Amino acid sequence: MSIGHYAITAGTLGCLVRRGDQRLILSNNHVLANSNDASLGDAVYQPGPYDGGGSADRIATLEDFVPIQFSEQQADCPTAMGVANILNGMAALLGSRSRLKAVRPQQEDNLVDAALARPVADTDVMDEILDIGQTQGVADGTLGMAVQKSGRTTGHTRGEILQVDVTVDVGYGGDRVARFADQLVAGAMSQGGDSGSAVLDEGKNLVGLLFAGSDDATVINRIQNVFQLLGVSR
Amino acid sequence: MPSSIWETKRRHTDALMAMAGVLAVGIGEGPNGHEAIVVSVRRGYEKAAASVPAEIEGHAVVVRVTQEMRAQ
Repeated sequence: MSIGHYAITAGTLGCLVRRGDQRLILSNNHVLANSNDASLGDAVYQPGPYDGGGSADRIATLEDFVPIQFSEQQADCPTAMGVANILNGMAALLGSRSRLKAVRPQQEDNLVDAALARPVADTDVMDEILDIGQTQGVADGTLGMAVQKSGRTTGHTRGEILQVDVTVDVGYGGDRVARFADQLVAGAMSQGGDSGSAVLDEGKNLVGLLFAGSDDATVINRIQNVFQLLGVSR
Repeated sequence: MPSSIWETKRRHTDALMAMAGVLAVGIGEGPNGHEAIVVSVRRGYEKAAASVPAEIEGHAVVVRVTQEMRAQ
Protein backbone atom coordinates (compact mmCIF):
# COMPACT_ATOMS: atom_id res chain seq x y z
CA MET A 1 0.00 0.00 0.00
CA SER A 2 1.72 3.19 -1.22
CA ILE A 3 2.09 6.02 1.29
CA GLY A 4 4.47 8.90 1.88
CA HIS A 5 5.28 12.26 3.45
CA TYR A 6 4.38 15.02 0.98
CA ALA A 7 8.06 15.72 0.18
CA ILE A 8 9.21 12.15 -0.57
CA THR A 9 8.61 9.70 -3.45
CA ALA A 10 6.68 6.77 -2.00
CA GLY A 11 6.99 3.98 0.53
CA THR A 12 4.77 1.38 2.11
CA LEU A 13 2.19 1.57 4.91
CA GLY A 14 3.43 -1.18 7.25
CA CYS A 15 0.55 -1.83 9.58
CA LEU A 16 -1.59 -0.20 12.23
CA VAL A 17 -0.35 0.01 15.82
CA ARG A 18 -1.86 1.40 18.99
CA ARG A 19 -0.81 4.10 21.40
CA GLY A 20 -3.43 4.04 24.10
CA ASP A 21 -6.77 3.97 22.28
CA GLN A 22 -5.38 5.71 19.18
CA ARG A 23 -4.76 3.66 16.02
CA LEU A 24 -1.65 4.91 14.21
CA ILE A 25 0.06 4.09 10.91
CA LEU A 26 3.52 2.52 11.26
CA SER A 27 6.16 2.97 8.56
CA ASN A 28 9.72 4.27 8.28
CA ASN A 29 11.09 7.66 9.30
CA HIS A 30 12.33 8.05 5.70
CA VAL A 31 8.80 7.38 4.41
CA LEU A 32 6.64 9.37 6.85
CA ALA A 33 9.17 11.92 8.19
CA ASN A 34 11.42 12.55 5.17
CA SER A 35 14.57 11.24 6.96
CA ASN A 36 14.24 13.68 9.92
CA ASP A 37 13.47 16.62 7.61
CA ALA A 38 9.82 16.98 8.61
CA SER A 39 7.65 18.61 11.26
CA LEU A 40 5.07 16.89 13.40
CA GLY A 41 1.67 17.45 11.77
CA ASP A 42 3.05 17.35 8.20
CA ALA A 43 0.74 15.81 5.60
CA VAL A 44 1.09 12.15 4.64
CA TYR A 45 -0.42 11.13 1.30
CA GLN A 46 -1.89 7.82 0.18
CA PRO A 47 -0.73 7.02 -2.43
CA GLY A 48 2.70 8.61 -2.00
CA PRO A 49 3.61 11.60 -4.22
CA TYR A 50 5.52 9.44 -6.76
CA ASP A 51 2.34 7.43 -7.31
CA GLY A 52 0.24 10.53 -7.92
CA GLY A 53 -0.73 11.41 -4.34
CA GLY A 54 -1.44 15.11 -3.72
CA SER A 55 -3.06 17.35 -1.16
CA ALA A 56 -6.48 15.79 -1.84
CA ASP A 57 -5.00 12.42 -0.82
CA ARG A 58 -3.96 13.42 2.70
CA ILE A 59 -4.73 10.28 4.71
CA ALA A 60 -2.77 11.14 7.85
CA THR A 61 -0.45 13.56 9.58
CA LEU A 62 3.00 12.88 10.98
CA GLU A 63 2.55 11.94 14.65
CA ASP A 64 6.02 10.92 15.85
CA PHE A 65 9.34 9.59 14.62
CA VAL A 66 12.63 8.24 15.94
CA PRO A 67 15.39 10.53 14.58
CA ILE A 68 18.03 8.81 12.43
CA GLN A 69 21.58 9.54 13.55
CA PHE A 70 23.71 9.85 10.42
CA SER A 71 27.36 8.79 10.61
CA GLU A 72 28.62 12.22 9.71
CA GLN A 73 26.40 15.19 10.28
CA GLN A 74 26.98 18.75 9.20
CA ALA A 75 29.01 20.39 11.97
CA ASP A 76 27.22 22.95 14.11
CA CYS A 77 30.45 24.13 15.74
CA PRO A 78 31.36 27.67 14.53
CA THR A 79 35.06 27.07 15.29
CA ALA A 80 35.23 23.91 13.18
CA MET A 81 33.35 25.56 10.31
CA GLY A 82 35.59 28.65 10.56
CA VAL A 83 38.76 26.57 10.44
CA ALA A 84 37.43 24.62 7.45
CA ASN A 85 36.59 27.88 5.66
CA ILE A 86 40.08 29.33 6.27
CA LEU A 87 41.78 26.15 5.06
CA ASN A 88 39.50 26.00 2.01
CA GLY A 89 40.42 29.61 1.21
CA MET A 90 44.12 28.77 1.40
CA ALA A 91 43.59 25.64 -0.72
CA ALA A 92 41.82 27.70 -3.38
CA LEU A 93 44.68 30.21 -3.44
CA LEU A 94 47.12 27.33 -3.95
CA GLY A 95 45.07 26.06 -6.87
CA SER A 96 43.63 22.98 -5.14
CA ARG A 97 40.13 21.94 -6.20
CA SER A 98 39.62 19.77 -3.08
CA ARG A 99 37.70 21.20 -0.15
CA LEU A 100 37.36 20.34 3.53
CA LYS A 101 33.97 19.99 5.20
CA ALA A 102 33.50 20.24 8.98
CA VAL A 103 31.52 17.24 10.19
CA ARG A 104 30.42 15.99 13.59
CA PRO A 105 31.11 12.25 13.87
CA GLN A 106 28.12 10.32 15.20
CA GLN A 107 29.01 7.43 17.47
CA GLU A 108 25.60 6.12 18.45
CA ASP A 109 24.14 3.25 16.44
CA ASN A 110 20.53 3.44 15.33
CA LEU A 111 18.11 0.65 16.13
CA VAL A 112 15.17 1.68 13.96
CA ASP A 113 14.07 3.76 10.97
CA ALA A 114 10.52 4.22 12.21
CA ALA A 115 7.72 6.76 12.37
CA LEU A 116 4.02 7.05 13.10
CA ALA A 117 1.23 8.90 11.33
CA ARG A 118 -2.22 9.68 12.75
CA PRO A 119 -5.06 8.91 10.31
CA VAL A 120 -7.20 11.93 9.44
CA ALA A 121 -10.23 9.65 9.96
CA ASP A 122 -9.94 6.37 11.85
CA THR A 123 -12.41 4.80 9.39
CA ASP A 124 -9.94 5.43 6.50
CA VAL A 125 -7.56 2.70 7.69
CA MET A 126 -7.83 -1.05 8.18
CA ASP A 127 -6.03 -3.42 10.54
CA GLU A 128 -5.55 -6.02 7.78
CA ILE A 129 -2.35 -6.04 5.72
CA LEU A 130 -2.96 -6.35 1.96
CA ASP A 131 -2.47 -9.98 0.75
CA ILE A 132 -1.61 -11.16 4.29
CA GLY A 133 -4.51 -10.25 6.55
CA GLN A 134 -4.75 -9.62 10.27
CA THR A 135 -1.58 -9.80 12.35
CA GLN A 136 -1.74 -12.48 15.06
CA GLY A 137 0.94 -11.40 17.53
CA VAL A 138 4.61 -10.53 17.83
CA ALA A 139 7.57 -12.90 17.43
CA ASP A 140 11.36 -12.77 17.75
CA GLY A 141 13.15 -12.94 14.41
CA THR A 142 15.53 -15.92 14.46
CA LEU A 143 18.03 -17.48 12.06
CA GLY A 144 16.32 -19.53 9.36
CA MET A 145 12.85 -18.13 10.07
CA ALA A 146 10.59 -17.92 7.00
CA VAL A 147 9.14 -14.42 6.68
CA GLN A 148 6.75 -12.53 4.40
CA LYS A 149 5.83 -8.95 3.60
CA SER A 150 3.41 -6.98 1.43
CA GLY A 151 5.04 -3.95 -0.17
CA ARG A 152 4.19 -1.10 -2.53
CA THR A 153 6.68 -2.19 -5.25
CA THR A 154 7.10 -5.97 -5.19
CA GLY A 155 3.80 -6.90 -3.54
CA HIS A 156 3.57 -10.05 -1.41
CA THR A 157 6.97 -11.76 -1.21
CA ARG A 158 8.61 -14.34 1.03
CA GLY A 159 12.15 -14.72 2.34
CA GLU A 160 14.28 -16.23 5.06
CA ILE A 161 16.21 -14.59 7.89
CA LEU A 162 19.86 -15.25 7.05
CA GLN A 163 21.57 -13.09 9.68
CA VAL A 164 20.67 -11.70 13.10
CA ASP A 165 22.32 -9.17 15.45
CA VAL A 166 23.56 -7.35 12.34
CA THR A 167 25.44 -4.05 12.48
CA VAL A 168 25.14 -2.44 9.04
CA ASP A 169 25.88 0.84 7.27
CA VAL A 170 22.92 2.02 5.17
CA GLY A 171 23.04 4.69 2.46
CA TYR A 172 20.34 7.37 2.45
CA GLY A 173 21.26 9.09 -0.82
CA GLY A 174 23.98 11.63 -1.45
CA ASP A 175 26.77 10.98 1.05
CA ARG A 176 24.47 10.28 3.97
CA VAL A 177 25.12 6.98 5.74
CA ALA A 178 23.61 5.74 8.98
CA ARG A 179 24.85 2.81 11.06
CA PHE A 180 22.23 0.44 12.48
CA ALA A 181 22.72 -2.28 15.13
CA ASP A 182 20.60 -5.30 16.16
CA GLN A 183 19.11 -5.71 12.68
CA LEU A 184 17.74 -8.77 10.90
CA VAL A 185 18.92 -9.51 7.35
CA ALA A 186 16.85 -11.64 4.97
CA GLY A 187 17.55 -12.60 1.38
CA ALA A 188 16.26 -10.48 -1.51
CA MET A 189 12.55 -9.82 -0.99
CA SER A 190 12.14 -6.08 -1.63
CA GLN A 191 12.99 -3.09 -3.82
CA GLY A 192 12.78 0.69 -3.61
CA GLY A 193 9.30 1.72 -2.43
CA ASP A 194 8.83 -1.37 -0.24
CA SER A 195 10.32 0.47 2.75
CA GLY A 196 7.97 0.52 5.66
CA SER A 197 6.56 -2.94 5.00
CA ALA A 198 5.71 -4.98 8.06
CA VAL A 199 7.62 -8.28 8.10
CA LEU A 200 5.73 -11.27 9.52
CA ASP A 201 6.43 -14.93 10.12
CA GLU A 202 4.30 -17.65 8.52
CA GLY A 203 1.95 -17.49 11.50
CA LYS A 204 1.34 -13.78 10.73
CA ASN A 205 3.20 -12.66 13.84
CA LEU A 206 4.96 -9.30 13.47
CA VAL A 207 8.72 -9.74 13.36
CA GLY A 208 10.08 -6.50 11.94
CA LEU A 209 9.90 -3.33 9.88
CA LEU A 210 11.62 -3.45 6.47
CA PHE A 211 13.65 -0.33 5.61
CA ALA A 212 16.66 -1.07 3.39
CA GLY A 213 18.29 -3.57 1.11
CA SER A 214 20.31 -4.41 -1.97
CA ASP A 215 19.84 -6.81 -4.88
CA ASP A 216 20.61 -9.74 -2.58
CA ALA A 217 19.69 -8.63 0.93
CA THR A 218 16.86 -7.04 2.90
CA VAL A 219 17.46 -5.15 6.14
CA ILE A 220 14.78 -5.26 8.83
CA ASN A 221 14.39 -3.50 12.19
CA ARG A 222 13.34 -5.78 15.04
CA ILE A 223 9.69 -5.02 15.82
CA GLN A 224 10.46 -5.12 19.57
CA ASN A 225 12.86 -2.16 19.15
CA VAL A 226 10.30 -0.32 17.00
CA PHE A 227 7.52 -0.77 19.55
CA GLN A 228 9.73 0.17 22.50
CA LEU A 229 11.22 3.30 20.95
CA LEU A 230 7.86 4.56 19.67
CA GLY A 231 5.91 3.50 22.77
CA VAL A 232 3.29 1.56 20.80
CA SER A 233 1.80 -1.91 20.79
CA ARG A 234 0.06 -4.13 18.27
CA MET B 1 35.39 -20.73 29.31
CA PRO B 2 35.32 -19.44 25.70
CA SER B 3 33.10 -16.44 24.89
CA SER B 4 29.79 -17.05 23.16
CA ILE B 5 29.67 -16.07 19.50
CA TRP B 6 27.36 -13.19 20.48
CA GLU B 7 29.86 -11.74 22.95
CA THR B 8 32.74 -12.22 20.52
CA LYS B 9 30.82 -10.61 17.68
CA ARG B 10 29.87 -7.58 19.79
CA ARG B 11 33.41 -7.12 21.05
CA HIS B 12 34.91 -7.17 17.54
CA THR B 13 32.19 -5.38 15.56
CA ASP B 14 33.74 -1.90 15.71
CA ALA B 15 37.15 -3.16 14.54
CA LEU B 16 35.61 -5.20 11.70
CA MET B 17 33.35 -2.31 10.60
CA ALA B 18 36.41 -0.04 10.48
CA MET B 19 38.08 -2.26 7.83
CA ALA B 20 37.98 -0.98 4.25
CA GLY B 21 34.91 -2.13 2.34
CA VAL B 22 33.13 -3.75 5.30
CA LEU B 23 29.40 -2.93 5.18
CA ALA B 24 27.97 -5.21 7.82
CA VAL B 25 28.79 -7.68 10.59
CA GLY B 26 26.21 -10.16 11.79
CA ILE B 27 25.62 -13.73 12.89
CA GLY B 28 24.55 -16.27 10.30
CA GLU B 29 25.07 -19.83 9.28
CA GLY B 30 28.62 -21.03 8.60
CA PRO B 31 29.63 -23.67 6.05
CA ASN B 32 29.34 -26.49 8.61
CA GLY B 33 25.84 -25.47 9.64
CA HIS B 34 27.04 -23.88 12.89
CA GLU B 35 26.58 -20.20 13.67
CA ALA B 36 29.35 -18.01 12.26
CA ILE B 37 30.26 -14.32 12.29
CA VAL B 38 29.28 -13.02 8.83
CA VAL B 39 31.24 -10.06 7.48
CA SER B 40 29.67 -8.42 4.42
CA VAL B 41 32.18 -6.72 2.12
CA ARG B 42 31.28 -4.30 -0.66
CA ARG B 43 31.75 -5.61 -4.21
CA GLY B 44 35.04 -4.25 -5.52
CA TYR B 45 36.73 -4.59 -2.13
CA GLU B 46 37.37 -8.34 -2.40
CA LYS B 47 41.12 -7.82 -1.90
CA ALA B 48 40.49 -6.04 1.40
CA ALA B 49 38.34 -8.99 2.41
CA ALA B 50 41.48 -11.12 2.47
CA SER B 51 42.54 -9.34 5.66
CA VAL B 52 39.36 -10.42 7.49
CA PRO B 53 40.41 -13.23 9.87
CA ALA B 54 38.99 -16.70 9.15
CA GLU B 55 38.34 -17.22 12.83
CA ILE B 56 37.97 -15.01 15.91
CA GLU B 57 38.29 -16.51 19.41
CA GLY B 58 37.44 -19.93 18.01
CA HIS B 59 34.36 -18.77 16.09
CA ALA B 60 34.28 -19.12 12.30
CA VAL B 61 34.14 -15.94 10.22
CA VAL B 62 32.44 -16.04 6.81
CA VAL B 63 33.00 -13.26 4.26
CA ARG B 64 30.13 -12.40 1.95
CA VAL B 65 30.55 -10.04 -1.01
CA THR B 66 27.55 -7.80 -1.49
CA GLN B 67 26.33 -4.43 -2.71
CA GLU B 68 25.78 -1.35 -0.61
CA MET B 69 22.58 -1.45 1.44
CA ARG B 70 20.33 1.49 0.66
CA ALA B 71 17.21 2.83 2.27
CA GLN B 72 14.35 1.64 0.07
